[in-house]
Amino acid sequence: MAKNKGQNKFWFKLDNAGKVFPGQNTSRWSNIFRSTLIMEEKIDPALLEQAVKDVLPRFPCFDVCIKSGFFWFYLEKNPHDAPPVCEDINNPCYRVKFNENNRFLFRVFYRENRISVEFFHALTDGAGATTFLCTLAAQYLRLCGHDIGVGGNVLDITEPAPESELTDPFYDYEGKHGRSGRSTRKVYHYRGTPLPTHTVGIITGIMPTDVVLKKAKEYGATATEYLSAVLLYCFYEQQKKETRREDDLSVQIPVSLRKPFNRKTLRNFTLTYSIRIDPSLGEYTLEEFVRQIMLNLRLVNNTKNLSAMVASNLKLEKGVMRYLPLGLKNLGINISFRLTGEHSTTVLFSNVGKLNIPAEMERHVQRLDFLAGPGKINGVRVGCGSIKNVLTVSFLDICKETEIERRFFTTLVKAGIPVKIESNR
Amino acid sequence: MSYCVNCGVELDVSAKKCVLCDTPVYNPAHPPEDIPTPYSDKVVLPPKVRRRFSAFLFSVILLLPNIVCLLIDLLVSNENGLVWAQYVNTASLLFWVLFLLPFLIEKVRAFVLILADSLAILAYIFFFYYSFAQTGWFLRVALPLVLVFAVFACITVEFFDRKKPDWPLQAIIICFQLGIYAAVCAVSLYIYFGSPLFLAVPVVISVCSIVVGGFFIYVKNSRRMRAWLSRRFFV
Repeated sequence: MAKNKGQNKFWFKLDNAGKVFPGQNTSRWSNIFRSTLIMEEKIDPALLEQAVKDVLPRFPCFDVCIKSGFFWFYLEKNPHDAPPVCEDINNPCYRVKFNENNRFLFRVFYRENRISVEFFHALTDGAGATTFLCTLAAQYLRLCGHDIGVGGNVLDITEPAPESELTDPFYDYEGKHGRSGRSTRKVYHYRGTPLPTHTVGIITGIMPTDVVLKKAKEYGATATEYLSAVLLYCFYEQQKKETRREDDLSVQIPVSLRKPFNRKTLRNFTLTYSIRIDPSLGEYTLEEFVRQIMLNLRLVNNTKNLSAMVASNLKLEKGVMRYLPLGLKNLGINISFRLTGEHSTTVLFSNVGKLNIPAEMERHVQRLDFLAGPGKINGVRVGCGSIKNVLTVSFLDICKETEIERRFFTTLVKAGIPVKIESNR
Repeated sequence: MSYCVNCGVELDVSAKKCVLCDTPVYNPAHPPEDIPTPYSDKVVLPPKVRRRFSAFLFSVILLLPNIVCLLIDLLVSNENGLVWAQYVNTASLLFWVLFLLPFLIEKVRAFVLILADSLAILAYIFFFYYSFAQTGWFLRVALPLVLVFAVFACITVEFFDRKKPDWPLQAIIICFQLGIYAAVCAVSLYIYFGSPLFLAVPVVISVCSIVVGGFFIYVKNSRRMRAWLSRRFFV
């Protein structure tokens, strides 16, 4: 973070992971994701608006607008107070334009008993967004007259933001040798009848966390490993039904690096692991999928691999490319994204994990929904989050058909996990 | 609470059908009309990119240097009339029809644009033909080749758009059109040049296209052959 002399104007460089997102941004598609807290009581928009104003100074890295420099985009202190608080819509995660929404890169919505925030990925990742949402909800409850403390994902808004929340920690873990291990081999993509542009279908499955964990433990896996395996297995079955081709299947799993590296940054600090399964090797069972994904994920999840991946990600910033003017960089990023991007991924499964909120806040909150933004090629993208003993898996789909969702949730029901469904369809 | 009898999942109290399998829900205890749905019905569609305005702006930008060129040419060489400005103007006009006109007209069918492009190309060729006072080749070669190509392109685009034929039929149509077009080329080049040498290449192309077209007719009628080709040549 830098501060201009004589002016109270902060600016940030975009973090390493966030640098590619503005380049991919188009008039029809942006990388947006959404977190929603479902409360026990109906939301008062006036109080929520006040809560946003109260909370925003605690998050200086979100109180920004994006500007273009000669070589890179950068984030600058937003001259406006706060983004408008709007009534919720049927088509969340529609594209972002930098001059709308009071130039903020996140949106706040409310409906009945729901508070939702949508973030442009250049600003933060799922963990940063959910921390902001929990702090916002806690402040809203305080304005409603409840006594809510701090702790876990609820930050103390009376304290200034520490430097550790604002820095880009990628550089601290930069390895010497980059690993360009991302495969560009073609994988299976589920295709259906596209919904109109800027509209999406959402299906959220709500289930008890302890039952899911118990089921995952039967396979010796974590909830992320088990659910992502079930998800990929649905695509495997769908591919078998659709065609005789045996394209690889790949699930992309973002992993937050905060816990392993003990960092508290609110900016992007996530790497994605792609786990591939080759169906041409023979018939698979669900057990084999779980085992394959579990072992692969644990194999790559270590500091050596991690620093190599970080070094690979930093190539754009370190090499000759950094001296290219922004326009050319954006063009390059856009073309590269179109050529590779989602081509090597069948589905994205993003789990923000279990949120910790103060005990006195728990009785006001029902659950957390996390929606990964829509893809361009991947019809379905899946977000997962858990709070108290409620786990939700949300499908965001750009196609009319719901075949993958049906397969996924019926597989869970057959496995003995009770599932409740909510949808915007 | 309601459950889907088909999928086994619990449904939201406001649900009128199971969103996973479309099975209708009937629960007299919870009529869905009384309960708010989890999501709003309001759909926010961001404003479309103003392509027409951008195209209009580019048209004006293109027009300005053309007017300047025209004026300079008129003022500098006023005794001889226009000397060079017309080349700039005609090239700009062709560029405008090819690249800016499609953005200025909303919801235009592809064949209209193909016709407009073909006419613009013909006009551009005719300008040079007329300027250099040449004879013969425009009517005998350029006109039939461009017009036949335009007609074939229009028919193909419109047919593919409306009927959405499967890939063997698409291949058959393209092969036979290529064959006929090569034959038209052969005839028009022979009429103009009078040498049988110009017949050779188009005739070879024409025969090859018709043979390949015949092969695709066989493919269209043979399920085994189609399956074999799908297996061998998938991308």
